[in-house]
This record gives sequence, C-alpha cells and structure tokens, in this order.
Amino acid sequence: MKSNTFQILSEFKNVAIFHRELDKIRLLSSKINKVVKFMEVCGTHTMQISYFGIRKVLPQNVELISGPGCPVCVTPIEYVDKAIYLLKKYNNIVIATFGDMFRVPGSESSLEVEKSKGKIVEVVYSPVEVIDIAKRYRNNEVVFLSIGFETTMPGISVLLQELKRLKIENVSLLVGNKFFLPAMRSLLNSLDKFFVNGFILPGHLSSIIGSNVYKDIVKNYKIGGVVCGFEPVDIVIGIRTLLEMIGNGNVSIVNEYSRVVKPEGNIKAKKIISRTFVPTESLWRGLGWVADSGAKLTNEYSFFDAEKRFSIPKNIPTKKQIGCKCAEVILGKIKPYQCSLFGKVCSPEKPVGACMVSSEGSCAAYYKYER
Amino acid sequence: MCIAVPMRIVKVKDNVGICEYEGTVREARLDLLEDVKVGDYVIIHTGFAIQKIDIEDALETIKIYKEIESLK
Repeated sequence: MKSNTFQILSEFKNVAIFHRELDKIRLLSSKINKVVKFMEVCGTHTMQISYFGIRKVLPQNVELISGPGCPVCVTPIEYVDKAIYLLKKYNNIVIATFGDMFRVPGSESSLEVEKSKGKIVEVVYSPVEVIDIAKRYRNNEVVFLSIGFETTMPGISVLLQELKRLKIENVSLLVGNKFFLPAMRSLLNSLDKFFVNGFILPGHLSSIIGSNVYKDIVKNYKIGGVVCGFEPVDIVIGIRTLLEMIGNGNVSIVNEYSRVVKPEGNIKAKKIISRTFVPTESLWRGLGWVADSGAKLTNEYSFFDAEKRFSIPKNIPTKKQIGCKCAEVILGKIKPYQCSLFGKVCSPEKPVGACMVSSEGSCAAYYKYER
Repeated sequence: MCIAVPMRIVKVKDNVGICEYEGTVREARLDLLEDVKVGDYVIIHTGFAIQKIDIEDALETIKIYKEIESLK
C-alpha cells in the first residue's frame, strides 16, 4: 500500500467525487429558500477556495465568506510599528521574520523598506532557523517576530527550549502569537452585526487543538461547523455537510478531516505550547482587544521577551491607511472587491493592507484568482 | 501561514526526519510527535511535523465516497 499512498491522498482531488458533492449541494440549496453564508476561518482555506474556483460553481444562495483566519492579516499595525521602532532605535538589531510579514505596511515603513535602507532583516521558513541566525550574528541582538496561531506556536516553543538549552542569549521574541478559540468566541459574540450559518473550521490548526474544542460553539451559539481538509473534495464535502445541517435543523461539529485531526488534537504539542506560552489579552486587526486570545511568555522563558529586553513605548502613535478596509474584510463584513482601494491603489505588488500582502489574505486570494 | 504539506518520512535521526513528497526532499523536526517511524506520513508546517496522517482513515473515507459514486 505504501507506494500508492500519495495516490490515496490525491483522491481528495477526484473530479467525479467533487461533482457528485456539487450536485448534492445544488439539490440541498434548492430546498432552502434563503441565502446561507458559511465562513472559513483559515487563510489556507481562503486561498484554496479561490484557487480551485469553488465560489464560482456554488449555487447563488450559498455564499462563502472569509473570517479572521490569516495570522498575518489579524496582526495589528501596532505590532509592525514595534518591529520598525526596534530597527530604527537600536543599531545592533537583526529582525528575523516569517516571509509573510516582510512586506506588511506599518504606519510609516515596512521591514522590506527598512532592509532596502541597510537594516538587517532575515526571513525564515522555520522558527529553528533563528538559532543559526543568532550564531551568524553573535555580536547583534536578534529579534524574532513570533506570530501565528496554535499551528505555529509549538515550533516556536521548541525554538525557545533550544535557545535555553544551548544558552544562546542574543535572541528575543516580539510575541504576537494568538490563540484561536477566544477570537472565534469574540466573533460569535458580535454576530448581531452580521450573520453566519456555519463554519468551515481550520484543518491544520485543529490538528493541534483537536475537534472537541468546538462543541461549545454549537451549544452556546447554535451554529454548526465542519473541520475540513484543504483539497477540493474536502471543501465541498464541508459545504454539503453544513447545508444538510441547515436542512434538517440538527447543527453539530463534524470532523471531515479525520485523517489528520483527532478529537483530542496533538497532546504533546499542546503541552509544549503551555510550557512556554500563557494566554493574555491581545489586539487583533478587525476584532480589537480580545481577552485571553494572545500569548505571552511564561516566567521560565520571560528572559526571551523582547518587550522586556528593550525599551519599546506602549503606545506608538499609529497612522492607519486611509480607505483601507482590511478590518471589515477580516470579519467577512465586506468582500475584498468592495474596498475602494482593491485592485486600484492596493495590489500584491504595492499592498496597502495586510490582507493584500499575506499569501493567505482574502484580498490577495481575490486579486489572484477571482478578479 | 498555516499552509502545510503531506510528506513521507524516509529517514529518522534523533529529532529530525528526512521527508519526501514527489521528489522533493526536506528536513523536518519531529519534536511534536510521538513514535515517528520511517514510512509514516506526516503534515509539515514551518519545518515541523505537526501531525501524522492516518492513511487507513483516508482510505476508508475515499472508499465510502467511491462506493456511493459507483452506486449512482
């Protein structure tokens, strides 16, 4: 079986199954005499839905909207400004960052602009690459821009443990990591302002936090959700399942991505996260301040906190981009093309807001595949 | 950023695995998983294997959908 295992996985791209599911979606939606909106809350889903053209083949009364699932997009401008402040104020700073953050505009500048002016900015794919950067720049202070949800956090926790074990002291983290569920609850608490009939729940994030954690969404908000994989078949099965829930009035959480997501998640990864990070209040682009949705370092690892190591003003005055509607896009309140800047002054080549920069942002997805 | 890819483990040395997918070979840290063996399929995100892929489960799911397809 081993030799054809990737073939088994590629069956989740099977065109015949995709179309059969689509037929079911058409039938189910024809029986529902209203517009239904399903929200995906993972940047990779946003990208895949656009890439595979799924929105275009759905019936008119089934809408897919994107929620706050792209970690770069939900990182507020204040965070970018802090990184720029460090680069400008201290001569010996090296910023290490995931590639997606590199071009995100701050109030006055971006990491890309600062690098072009001679500042040192290193892009990493994996958090553990920071160890090599620290060795290469042993006379500098390396600040890692630590962002991402629970999918990314355990890898960053491993980096912290390694830094401690190897006694590498010239590294600190500007912690902007976020816990997903408190933000999801915050979103659900503002559902009076817009409406969603079901959630396409994130596959890879759920591989860490598990599918059990979503049960209170059903209980408290009476909205169903399907944990979905990322292939086209996964996504249409998710949509079909949500329509069935609406049709029979029986909302629940279904785990479609059971080949990767377990009810309890990845227990080892969750333990590793809790050794280095604890929840704290956090600022989200779009959602504002949300209790317990952000991460801060535990006492054991607070030595690596860039905000303690350097003097960073609490409130750097921000200058928001006039006309940028990223905040509304993140909450699914408007479609990217409903922002007056979209495709005119804001494009992936010259982005104004984070949703256009990030490879998983809604605006970037619409710009590339749905214009 | 949560993008992640399925890969097959072809070699394990301590907490690092050599992984392969359609000719692409790369290293991934295995710190987040228990008992990873050569031949396991895993999901890789930012250089870490974050979860094993349950191939039996995938096969079962596909079998169900294919059977329904053949009954059509």
